[in-house]
Amino acid sequence: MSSMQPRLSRRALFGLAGAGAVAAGVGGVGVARAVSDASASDTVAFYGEHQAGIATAQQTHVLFSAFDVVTRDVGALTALLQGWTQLAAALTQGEPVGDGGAFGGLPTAPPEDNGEAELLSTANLTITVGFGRTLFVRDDADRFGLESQLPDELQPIPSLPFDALDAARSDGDIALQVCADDPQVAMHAMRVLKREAIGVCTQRWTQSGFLSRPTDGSTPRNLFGFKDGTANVRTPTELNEHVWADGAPEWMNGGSYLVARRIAMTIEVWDRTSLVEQETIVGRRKGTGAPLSGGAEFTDPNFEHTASDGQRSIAKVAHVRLAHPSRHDGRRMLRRGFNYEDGVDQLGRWDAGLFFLAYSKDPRSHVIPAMTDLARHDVMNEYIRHTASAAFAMPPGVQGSDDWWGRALFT
Amino acid sequence: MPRRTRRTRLIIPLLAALTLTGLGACSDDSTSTDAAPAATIPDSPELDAAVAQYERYVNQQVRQLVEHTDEFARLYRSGDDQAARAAYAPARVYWERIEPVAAAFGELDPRLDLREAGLEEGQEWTGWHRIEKDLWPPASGYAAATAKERDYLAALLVADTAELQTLAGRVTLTPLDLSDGAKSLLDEIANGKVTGEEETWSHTDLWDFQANLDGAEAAYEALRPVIEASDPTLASTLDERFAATHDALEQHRKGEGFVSYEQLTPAQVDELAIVVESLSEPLSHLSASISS
Repeated sequence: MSSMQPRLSRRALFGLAGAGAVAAGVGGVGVARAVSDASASDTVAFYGEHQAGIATAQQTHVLFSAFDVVTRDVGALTALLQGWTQLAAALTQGEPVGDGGAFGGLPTAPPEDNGEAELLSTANLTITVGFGRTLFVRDDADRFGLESQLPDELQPIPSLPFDALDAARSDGDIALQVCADDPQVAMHAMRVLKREAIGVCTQRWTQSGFLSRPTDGSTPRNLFGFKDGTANVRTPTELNEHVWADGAPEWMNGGSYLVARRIAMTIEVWDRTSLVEQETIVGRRKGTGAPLSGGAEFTDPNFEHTASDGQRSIAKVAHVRLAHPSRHDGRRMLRRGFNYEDGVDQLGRWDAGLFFLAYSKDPRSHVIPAMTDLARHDVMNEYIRHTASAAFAMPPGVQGSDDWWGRALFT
Repeated sequence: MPRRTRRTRLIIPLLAALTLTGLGACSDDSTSTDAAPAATIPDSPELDAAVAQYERYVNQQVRQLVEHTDEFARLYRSGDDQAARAAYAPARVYWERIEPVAAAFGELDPRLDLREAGLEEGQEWTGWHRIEKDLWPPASGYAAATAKERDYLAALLVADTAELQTLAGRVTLTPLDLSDGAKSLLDEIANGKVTGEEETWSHTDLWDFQANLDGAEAAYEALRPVIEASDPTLASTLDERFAATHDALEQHRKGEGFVSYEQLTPAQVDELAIVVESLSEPLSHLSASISS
């Protein structure tokens, strides 16, 4: 029918050529990136032991979407997961969708590729899949014969004090986390993936976000204006200890559990708060990120330290104290949050804040206790409200072109 | 709100067909290196037969549309509102089945089928939906049509429908009119019927839904032998999804027709939207499967 098009698009060629220039010109960029070494190109490998998009250096944009499965046919669902895997493998490597791509197909056919990513950099695109509890069990029904495979780690997140959750923006059967250094590249990928899902899944909610890297490579800041992620999990040893799942069920080995919370900030009120009060609430200097007990950004906070007035340097209810692993048996999480802005409410107040994404090997021990502690005691609660919540089991990486997302779960 | 009505979009299939058949000779210099391969619709007796079959269908539907419209107009003019209301949705079925063809005749479509929401400032509102509002008037703020206005609206509906019959009898369709038309009808369902926007006052949207679906299926059935040969997977997918859509709609049948759109729960609307989307996606590949 149609003549075969070259597999590599101009976009991909451009991406590879451009990557050389970036590597030569700004050699230090990698230092800015958390967790893993920044790749020399603008392309992140898709295949591997773990899914990309978790320990991968955090990109500047996220487009996250939860889907609900509408078919009862498990064959249609696994076919979608296989199709998605192939598309994700192609998209993340900068290849166009389908043989004809955006402009080369039959004129009587809808273009297989939407076209808006043509000639754009691959922008370190990663696509990461996750499975929600409702995929395994919903209303006590074992929908796809997966109930016995439901991980204990994937518990519903308990209701926390001051929760103001919107059910329509929470939960979901399947999650796709699309991250890229270009929001248009992320949108393009999500759009292709959604189209593939028609008839099998509906899109339940989406959340986009952004997180800009300072030019000097220092820790990015959240919308409170504070450095966010200073004490993040970074090294392979830390990742193995806190993030990668290694117990039962077996299909999750090498995967990770995601807790997503949409945390709205009362921006206007925060902006009327004095610098000293902001720093007291957080427990760190706003400028340097150093703990109020002294030192520099990466100095461990000293919670016993007292100031000249005899008061504790870091208040009993300071955010850094409540969130600190020393309060939670040393358990840590990999934070991969993004700032978001979704317009204004009816009173003209920002709907903006933090799309909090926390990866761990077990949310029950690594995330939920800290979150609960914060919800009960944190003075910051006066300035935030949790408006959506979700948890997903993110399976291990895809090992090769004959492997697919969830293969070990479904077969 | 866009100024153009959604209906203007539907003119595209027929025009597109005219353009595409000549595309082989043109080159698009904006993408000189990897220009889209020109689509040609091969000459084939099977496609000729498909077009002839669908043309017969269109003319049959138009004949019935004329009969039912004449009767509906008579009832409306006579002031027998109850009988006119009962005749409204059954008459419109014949219109909705062949809407993409009817919509190709420029001015006729807005005169016959424009909704109030699509009116431009200063535009005269006539046709089915103008009469619909008069038969199912809002509780307040609406002045009923006078006998003279009724005569005018009814006569215009009859005359325009007669003109449609004349024009439809002369038109020559191409295979792409069938495939693009089928897709357009599904778009109509997705954009107007599943949302309950088409029949704002009578809420007979599910009658239109069924009629659009029937019309799309008639075009598909005509093309089916060709699709079966060129893309059997597409044919079996479409068979399955047409059936699933019929099944989903069947749950809302009541008597000769359907329950009012207002009686559908949000979950039922969601279910209909999902089956329509599931059918629309493979249907959008119909045109490509008859091109080469």
